[in-house]
Amino acid sequence: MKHLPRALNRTLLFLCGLILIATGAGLLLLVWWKPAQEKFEQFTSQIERGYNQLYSQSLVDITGENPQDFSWLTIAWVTIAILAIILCLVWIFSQGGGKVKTINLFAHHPSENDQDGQISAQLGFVDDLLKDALEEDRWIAAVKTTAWEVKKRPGIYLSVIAYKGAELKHLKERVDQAISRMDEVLGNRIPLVVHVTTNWRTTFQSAQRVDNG
Amino acid sequence: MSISETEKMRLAKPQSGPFVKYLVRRETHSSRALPAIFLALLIIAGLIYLVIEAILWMSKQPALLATPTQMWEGIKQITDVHTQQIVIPVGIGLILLGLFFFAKALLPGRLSKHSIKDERAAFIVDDGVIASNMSRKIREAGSLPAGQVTTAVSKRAVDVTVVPTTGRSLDKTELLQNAKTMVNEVPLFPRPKADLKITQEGQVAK
Repeated sequence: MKHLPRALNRTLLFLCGLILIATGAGLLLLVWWKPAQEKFEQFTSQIERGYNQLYSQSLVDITGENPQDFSWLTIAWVTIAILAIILCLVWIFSQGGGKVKTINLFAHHPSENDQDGQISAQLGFVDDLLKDALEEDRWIAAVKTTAWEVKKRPGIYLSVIAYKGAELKHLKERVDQAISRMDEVLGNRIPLVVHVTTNWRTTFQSAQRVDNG
Repeated sequence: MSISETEKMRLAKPQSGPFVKYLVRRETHSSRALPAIFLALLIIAGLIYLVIEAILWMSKQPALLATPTQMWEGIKQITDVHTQQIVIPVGIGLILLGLFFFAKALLPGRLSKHSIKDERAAFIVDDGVIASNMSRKIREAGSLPAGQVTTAVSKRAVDVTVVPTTGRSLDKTELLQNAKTMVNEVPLFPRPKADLKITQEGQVAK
């Protein structure tokens, strides 16, 4: 399914949350607790002294006109910040992906298929198969199929958009039949997610239709 | 083309599909993608501002808000009495924001979905679908007009509230039995418990 760095998200949210809480609590301590203020003043003056020393040691003449005007330290800070921005962008763009269009039916046995060739089905084929089996149902408004990679194997995500009040037991039985048919046709049980949901249209529309009986 | 023994065994096993448990877990729990993107954007915005200020300072241009030196001087003055009016709300804001991210990381992040126990596929149902199914069934069982039954579905409870039509009595036991049957006829996970409440005030028949 959609590739999401779940563990990374949790870890980074945990760490950043912890840092923010510690910083906020630290600020409040500095306002209300005298010993913390004294420690903070000692700490900042130590940092300032050390940084100034390092700064003067790392001065560099870049333009030649105004010697000893640039510090490598400032350039290093800017570089670190740009790298951190790139890492954050990588983090953002890693939230997603993994969509596939072709379903390799024996993709989990590459050693056999290296010699025998691969059998694959286009997503459209599976989509048609499931739509044929499900869309005529009175409780189903629409069916949407997407294919995703699941643990390096292609998998199918089947969204079943149900009408308001849809009979769950009936839906389950219909979908089970459709899945059995799909498995039979494909000759392989691929990873599958069935998501029964509604959308804004089905929330306000009823499944009632005119019966000719 | 030959099929391996494992594949033959897997196909012979009735109704079993791959990674079902793993997929159910993924689909019923949040990936925390939105708070992660929000946090990343906050960090990026802060860093871009700092980089711009640093570059302006290096190229001897006027600062947007404060030069790096002025920022450092500002940090040193946090303990001053005059800056306390700013430091206190900033501190509280940071703690609240931190708690938000902390909670997002530590809480289970369960989505408003239930799964239906199945060997072949990860069968996920929105709680809204379960609620509307229940409301319709109770409405039909009690011969009630639309809008008089509401259902709230949570992890372990399906609470049905019925507003009776004035002048018509409802059999609570029968309706509750209907609700329990509906919950039990589909193997939902986590299994919710059905409860039904009939309000004191009725609604005038239209």
